[in-house]
Amino acid sequence: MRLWTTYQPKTDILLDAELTSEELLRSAAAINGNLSRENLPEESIGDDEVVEAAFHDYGVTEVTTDGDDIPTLAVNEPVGPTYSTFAGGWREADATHTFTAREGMCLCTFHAFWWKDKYYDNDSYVSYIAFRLLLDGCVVARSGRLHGPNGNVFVEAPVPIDGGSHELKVQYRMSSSDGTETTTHRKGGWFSGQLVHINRRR
Amino acid sequence: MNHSVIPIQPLKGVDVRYPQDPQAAADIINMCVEADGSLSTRIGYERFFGANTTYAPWNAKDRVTSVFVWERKGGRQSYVLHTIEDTLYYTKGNPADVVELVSGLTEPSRQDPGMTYIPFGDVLVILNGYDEPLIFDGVNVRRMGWRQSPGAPDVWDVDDSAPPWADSAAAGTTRVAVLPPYPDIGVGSGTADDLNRFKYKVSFISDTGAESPLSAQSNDVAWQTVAAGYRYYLLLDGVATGPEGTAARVVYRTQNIEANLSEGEYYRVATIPNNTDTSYWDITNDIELASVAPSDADSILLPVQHPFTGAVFQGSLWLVDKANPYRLWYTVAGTVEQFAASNYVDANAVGGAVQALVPYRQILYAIRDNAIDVVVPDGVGGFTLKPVSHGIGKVAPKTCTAVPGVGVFVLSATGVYILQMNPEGSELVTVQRASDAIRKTIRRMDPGKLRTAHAAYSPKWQEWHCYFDADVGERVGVVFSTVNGGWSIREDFPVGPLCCTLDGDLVFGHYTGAFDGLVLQPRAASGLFVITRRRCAGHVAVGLDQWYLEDADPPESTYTSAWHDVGDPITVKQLRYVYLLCKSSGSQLLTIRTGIDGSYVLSDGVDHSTQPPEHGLQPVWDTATFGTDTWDEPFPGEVRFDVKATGRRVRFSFTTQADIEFMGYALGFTGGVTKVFKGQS
Repeated sequence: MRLWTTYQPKTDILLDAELTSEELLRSAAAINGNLSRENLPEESIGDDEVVEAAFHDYGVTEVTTDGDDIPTLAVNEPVGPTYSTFAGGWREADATHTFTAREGMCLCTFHAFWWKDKYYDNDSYVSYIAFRLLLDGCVVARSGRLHGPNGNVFVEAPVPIDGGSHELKVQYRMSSSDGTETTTHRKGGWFSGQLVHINRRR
Repeated sequence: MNHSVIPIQPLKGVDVRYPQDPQAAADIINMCVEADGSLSTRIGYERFFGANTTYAPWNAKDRVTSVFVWERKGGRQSYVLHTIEDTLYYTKGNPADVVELVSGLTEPSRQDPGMTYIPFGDVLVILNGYDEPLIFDGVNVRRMGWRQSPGAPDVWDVDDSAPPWADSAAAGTTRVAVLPPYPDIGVGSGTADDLNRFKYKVSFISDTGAESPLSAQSNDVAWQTVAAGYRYYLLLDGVATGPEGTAARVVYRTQNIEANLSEGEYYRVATIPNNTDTSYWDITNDIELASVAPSDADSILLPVQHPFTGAVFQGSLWLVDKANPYRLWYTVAGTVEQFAASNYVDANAVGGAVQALVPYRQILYAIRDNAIDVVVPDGVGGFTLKPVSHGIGKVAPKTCTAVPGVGVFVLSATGVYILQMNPEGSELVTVQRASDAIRKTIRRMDPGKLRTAHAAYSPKWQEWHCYFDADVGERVGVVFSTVNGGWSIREDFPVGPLCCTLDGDLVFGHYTGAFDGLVLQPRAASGLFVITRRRCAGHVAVGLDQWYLEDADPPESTYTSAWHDVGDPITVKQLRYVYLLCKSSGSQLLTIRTGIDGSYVLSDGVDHSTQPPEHGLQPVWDTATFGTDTWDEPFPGEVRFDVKATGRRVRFSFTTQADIEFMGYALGFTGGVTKVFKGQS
């Protein structure tokens, strides 16, 4: 939208309040107004001004499980009264990834190598491990149930994000006991984990 | 001394006909009519990119030969397309620059009206009568219409031998069979020993939704069903890719020719949703074919190679070719570039060639050399031309403008005409010449350059502007105000092609550009400008090597009243006072001069300012004291000018560059005893 002169105050012309206000408003609108997705790329920063693959910031935090702490269960015997102390519940890794973002998009990523001590599956028992990624307490990505003895897990999610401080966490859980494990038996774990964020303009 | 006062209000426009309307004027030059009917001098013109210190990006450019403001998406995307020499550009907001869209166009001569731009849906059609028509979608520009049919596709033969197959299929054959128990998938009959034969055609689909003519038919593909339930995938190869602007291809196929014992219809099989694939696997059973292919007459190659005028009417794009200005072609409704074989209307020779197509409400006017026709439905799915009026002579095609509440304005060699629908709104039209009041100005028009006249209506100014060549090389404008239904004149506005934005601003291209007749002058005005309330008539270049622009002086405005005889033309009377009813506008000096009995000679002037006479001076810019003086507003009042003009008919006039807004005047007369002398021998 182009805006041109509606009133020009010149020497010896009346200090007309209404006409002067109208001209000032139109000048302000020309600077501030009518920006939208349709015309902003032509009126403001375009792709030519942004370095290819540029992003605001990124960060990495190493995370891993407290491997010896994962309990196992005797048959039908819960370890304790809380959800997190039985093997089927979501457990949270201690290390979290805190970062400061600028408004735009944030690519949140977690990857690690996982293993299960007792992995064999049969018709009556299928073991799994599952992961999920939380941004500021909200689940943004899930891995689903991962079967087999070991493998790599990679979960990521691009999330629109506002400016300010944010926190990435990873949670994991494993399938319940098959009835043959003892309470001291380690079920499995994961290591070489990384929480990564990439904060982009778009 | 007692005197009689004759009030004149409200003010009307220019009217030079005798006897003169007392409320009209002999001259109104470079003034506009405000919403309350007052005349003001708050007009001027400024460069398009006001933030630039020079005429950039048009420094040292030749004249602008066409302008069009194309605004999409409610005005959020704005393209000001314009042509200079052989190149078509559009403006860009940030940075303030132009983008070259097309070069190598035919440059219009000094008698040509220039490009025609026709918005159709989301695209813009561009034509000039010399080059091929173009389509601009906001990003890319390409040639319009279909200039070729697709080539016929090749269909691979089917290897109908029975499985198991020990070797590969022969070259050029396919062996992809759909085996039982899938009865409805695959091409051909599932009955053992049945004969099968099929043919294919393809068409192009453009990014505007227009379909090309169908290709020639492909080769036959034929086989005999080897066993019960055997059907096949058929491979189309060599599917033609379309020219620029093709978005998809459509595949058509016959039903089983052997089963029908005739070729029969072609049916739509599928759309290939791109312009890159050259092969297609067909697995469509005959029972799924339902949509009959278009006929050869439903789409033809582009019938207008060099259209010079056009319009959108009844959902179709209407075009007239320079090679045959007696035939009006129109597209298939809803498409911008698909023409059916019978989609045309022929004009009889009596009315002359079509000069311009002008849509207005539910009518399409065809302005011809000797007639004005309207396009009406013929009752059998097509259209016909119906003559409604005699011709108005040669017209300026770029002046055909719809003015809300009035009609279609057209400038011809004999004046400005208004085409109006009758009150019931049917297609009947009245043709009325509306420029008799300004016939002195119309007579100044250069008839050889009539076709270079341009016009536009601005809802913001509520004015219809028309600029034409006059006085051998000058550009003069006539302006019709829909506020008071009157005319005024514009001089020294170098308006070439003209267009109005969605906001009502009038954008124009400089009529001469920087070309002085010999060379392009680096500091001369050129490019795009806007008629605004900026109190300057363009700009002046200041400095030498590092030059920049400053505002020029305001345009010179003139008001000359009608000749007043106070109802008694034979009695000599004395004009003593001119009371100008004007809004206070600061310390603006005005000089009133008078004339008597038809003489062009005016008396010496009387100066007064437009400050209110009985009150203290209102504060003005440059002398007001910050923190002390207050914002103010104008109020109307009479400013008295003491004059002395003795004659049977008297008038007053002022020429000014000051900021004036006046709503009427009153004349104070004395005398009235002396009668006119007897005539001279």
